[in-house]
Amino acid sequence: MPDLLSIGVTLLLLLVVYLSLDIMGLFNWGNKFQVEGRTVLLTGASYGMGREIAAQLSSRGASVILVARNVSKLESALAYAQSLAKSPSTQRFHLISADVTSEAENKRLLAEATTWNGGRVPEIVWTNAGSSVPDLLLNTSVETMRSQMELNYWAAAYLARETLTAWLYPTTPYSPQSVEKGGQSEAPRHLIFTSSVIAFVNIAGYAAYGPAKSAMRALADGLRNEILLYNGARRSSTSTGQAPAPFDVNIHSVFPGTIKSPGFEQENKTKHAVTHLLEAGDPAQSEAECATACIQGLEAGNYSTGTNWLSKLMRVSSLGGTPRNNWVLDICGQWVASIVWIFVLPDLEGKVWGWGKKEGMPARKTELS
Amino acid sequence: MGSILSKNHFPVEGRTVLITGGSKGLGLNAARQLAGKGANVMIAARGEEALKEAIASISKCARSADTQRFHAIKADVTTVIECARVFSECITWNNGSPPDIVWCCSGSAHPSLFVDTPLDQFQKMMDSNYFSCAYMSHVALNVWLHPSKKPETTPNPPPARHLIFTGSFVSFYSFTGFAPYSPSKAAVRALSDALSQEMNLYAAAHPYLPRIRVHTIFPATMPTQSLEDENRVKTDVTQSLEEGDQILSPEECARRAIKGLESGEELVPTSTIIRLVMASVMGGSIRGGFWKGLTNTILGWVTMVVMIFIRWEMDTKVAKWGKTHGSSGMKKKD
Repeated sequence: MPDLLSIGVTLLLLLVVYLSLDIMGLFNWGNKFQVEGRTVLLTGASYGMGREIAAQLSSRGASVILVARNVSKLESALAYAQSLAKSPSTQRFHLISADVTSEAENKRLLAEATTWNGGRVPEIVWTNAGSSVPDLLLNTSVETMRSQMELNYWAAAYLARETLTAWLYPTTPYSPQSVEKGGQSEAPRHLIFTSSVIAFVNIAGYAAYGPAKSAMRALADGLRNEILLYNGARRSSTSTGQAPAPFDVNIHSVFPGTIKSPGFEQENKTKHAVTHLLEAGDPAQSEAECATACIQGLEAGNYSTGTNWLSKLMRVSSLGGTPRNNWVLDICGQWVASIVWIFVLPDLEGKVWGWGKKEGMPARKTELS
Repeated sequence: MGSILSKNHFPVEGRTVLITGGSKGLGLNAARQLAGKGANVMIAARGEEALKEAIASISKCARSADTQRFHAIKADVTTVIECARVFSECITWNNGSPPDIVWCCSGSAHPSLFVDTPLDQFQKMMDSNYFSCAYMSHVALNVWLHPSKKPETTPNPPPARHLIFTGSFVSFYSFTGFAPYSPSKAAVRALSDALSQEMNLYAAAHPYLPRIRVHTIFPATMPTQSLEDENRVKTDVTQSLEEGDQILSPEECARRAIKGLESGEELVPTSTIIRLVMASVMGGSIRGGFWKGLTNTILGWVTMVVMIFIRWEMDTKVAKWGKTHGSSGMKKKD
């Protein structure tokens, strides 16, 4: 049946062409992360990847509010970001010194950012502050377990809560007119979490840091689904007495792996030898490379972004219900990753076992409360 | 092949089990069933009355009432001091030996929309669901791995000790209404994974100490007192997403959990849907040997395609809800 055959072959070819174009990103063009002329609030901005993010967003035309604890490092980071501004005459820069592990401080810093920004809540909030104090659980004090949770999860949760409340339930309620279907709708707001590949796979030696980043990931995932409620409410013709915001809110997470930064050097001071062993061979990115990868992922409209090949692979191996960035790539990637794990996992376990056999019982650290 | 397949990786006869959150729900039922298998059981919880009733009901299940022992302690395991106190009282009660099995069941859920959740609830959930496990691990592992007397160098290794946490479906997949709760449960799973790997190190360094296995149980929805508390604050939109969820009695849940432990599983799902979702986020948690790993891998492949539709369906439901009922998460009262 030559006709059926040629139809079949044509369809197959069309499918191949479609898949190729999809992989190349042709159906997904356009910058989904508009920052030009908008204001970004960025925590953990004084060094490391945060410093680079501020600079790169500045070069894309954003005004940036840099948040961290150390004022002199912030000043240097601000100067660096400002020096790369796309339109130096219109872009503005500000620094706020704050300890983001406190809920009160997050309230304060968001209020100060809003006032500085002419009474408008920043359109982009990126909770990037975080650090790792890795070690075996038994060598980790209870204080460290709590403080790791505070910096890597609570700081993000507090800022997220303050920001979402300010965007969705401002003190001066939105006027109902802004809800008109098809009426003026502003560009979406973005809430971004800097997570870590450790949230995909926790390994020996990150017993305090891994759970905190996993918690952050679960928060972002839940929020991603929950935010649809508010975005959907915007398109509703039902009036409830509570006017929705005149914009959608988008949630994103980025997942860096190893970054060659001061944070990494600090981390390595407490990191257990067996963790070093497990991480040997992991690709390391410069702060700039990592920041670029994050921003590119955001511009592609991704919910979750892996910053290098390892991060991407780890991401697809634990996707579950997370949105796909590209259906074809993510599904194939997941199949590949699951096969890779069959070999990698026994290797990781074997390394830990082998270290224990060789080195014996780890020495106990001095009295931990 | 028969002996390989039917080996019990969780023997409890004559051994001592400490269960936190043991006065209600999953913890109580696990205690009763383990008593039925010959274990000595100590339970910890906050409510004195509930503890009394629980001990009475647990001791009735004892296989050999004259040899098995039962004990209850009133404690709030959300602080490390209390965890240490519970553990040391257990050692005293257990004739100077630490318990062989520690099962952390204490926990609570407050499912409400993120921006509507009072701040203290966040802390409460993280403390009762995650830190209770983390502190108990710290306490138990410290004692287990630094024994007061040198272990004998026997040719047959002593039976393994077990550290068991309680996770949740939302450890793997979080959705509307669970944003304040799922982080604590995701953290539990991550702790379980890291500790499981770390135990390899100690096992190799200390071949004569009992191996320590770390597990997390993932219970399905159970009709318990805690669920009633939960449902009082749960939004209508979350309930609509959970429609059709399998509800298991805590007795059945405990039964499946113990079965999974006996077959040597580390991450133990108690329902099919949990098993499927778990397989799709396994990442580095695939364990249990080659055949189990292969099965989980294939399940994962299937589920990853299914999850796309499940997630799309949930997303559509939530967006539609917002469109119909506004953003409070609750149906309008007419």
